[in-house]
Amino acid sequence: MNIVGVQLIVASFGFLMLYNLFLHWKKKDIGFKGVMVWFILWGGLIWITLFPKSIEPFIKELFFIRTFDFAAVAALIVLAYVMFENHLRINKLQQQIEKLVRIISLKKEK
Amino acid sequence: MKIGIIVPEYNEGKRAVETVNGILNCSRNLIIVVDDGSDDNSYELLKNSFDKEKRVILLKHLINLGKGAAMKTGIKMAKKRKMEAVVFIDADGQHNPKHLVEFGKVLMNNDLVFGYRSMGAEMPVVRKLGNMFSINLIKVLFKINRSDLLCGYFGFKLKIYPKIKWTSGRYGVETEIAARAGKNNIEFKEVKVDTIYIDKYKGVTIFDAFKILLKIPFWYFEK
Repeated sequence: MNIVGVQLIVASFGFLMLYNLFLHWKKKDIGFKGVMVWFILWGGLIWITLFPKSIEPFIKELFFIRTFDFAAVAALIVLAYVMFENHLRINKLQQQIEKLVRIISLKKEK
Repeated sequence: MKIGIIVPEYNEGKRAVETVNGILNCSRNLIIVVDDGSDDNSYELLKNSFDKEKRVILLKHLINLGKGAAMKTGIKMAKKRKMEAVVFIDADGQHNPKHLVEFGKVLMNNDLVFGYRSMGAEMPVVRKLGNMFSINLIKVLFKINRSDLLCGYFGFKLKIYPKIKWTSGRYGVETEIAARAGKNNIEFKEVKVDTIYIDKYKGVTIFDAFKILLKIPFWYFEK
């Protein structure tokens, strides 16, 4: 198996993120379900990077010419989803903070 | 009619105290000052100055949420105090409290009253251009003909609040209210107010204006 530079960078990044995930799991920052989802994502990234041929038949079915194209599209989809989820959660958090600050200020009127 | 004067305030210090003093001299209404999490001594100054003044209610946000949020807190208090209408006035001294009397009179027969400034030499050119552009855009999209879209001196009867309730936390509140008023066909009157510019670096910047522009489609398509 010949590993090219780009594969080495992406796989190293994947392993680093898996280690990061492990640290957060140990600190109880993330639950079991979250760990599994991110493990599958980072593990999948490492697998596809190191063994691109293993998913070639599947990629051909989806009319992608190269594994890299598939990886780029998949990454964009995941990023867009995460961004949208973050946007919704931040909005909700902002509303909750605003409500809380308002309740406190009204209780402490001069 | 019971009118509450709402003064959203952020880091205005002595200017806020002067503004509230000015309002006290010009009006007999209840004044609700909302300190929006100032990180200077504005709140302490206001508290020391108006602690014994029964007509002044002082509220403080623990953190800075923006003008729109401070205005909403003021509304909550006005409702709690059974006010029928509110008038908003900025704490930075840009609005002359002498116009409050006229606002009160006009509010008797109208649900919504906007202040407008003359777009003469006193208004900075960039602001004038931005204002004119937004006036025309809002006119086309929301069928409302305003003379000054960026003036934060305005008032309304609380019964129309659900129709014009804004979502903007920071800048853009005035534009959003005009848009919602246009969308809901709310009749309004305009009152001419003095044009006072104290700090040219405060208020809506070109970046804020861009953010407001991005929000306009949401107001247009929102129910």
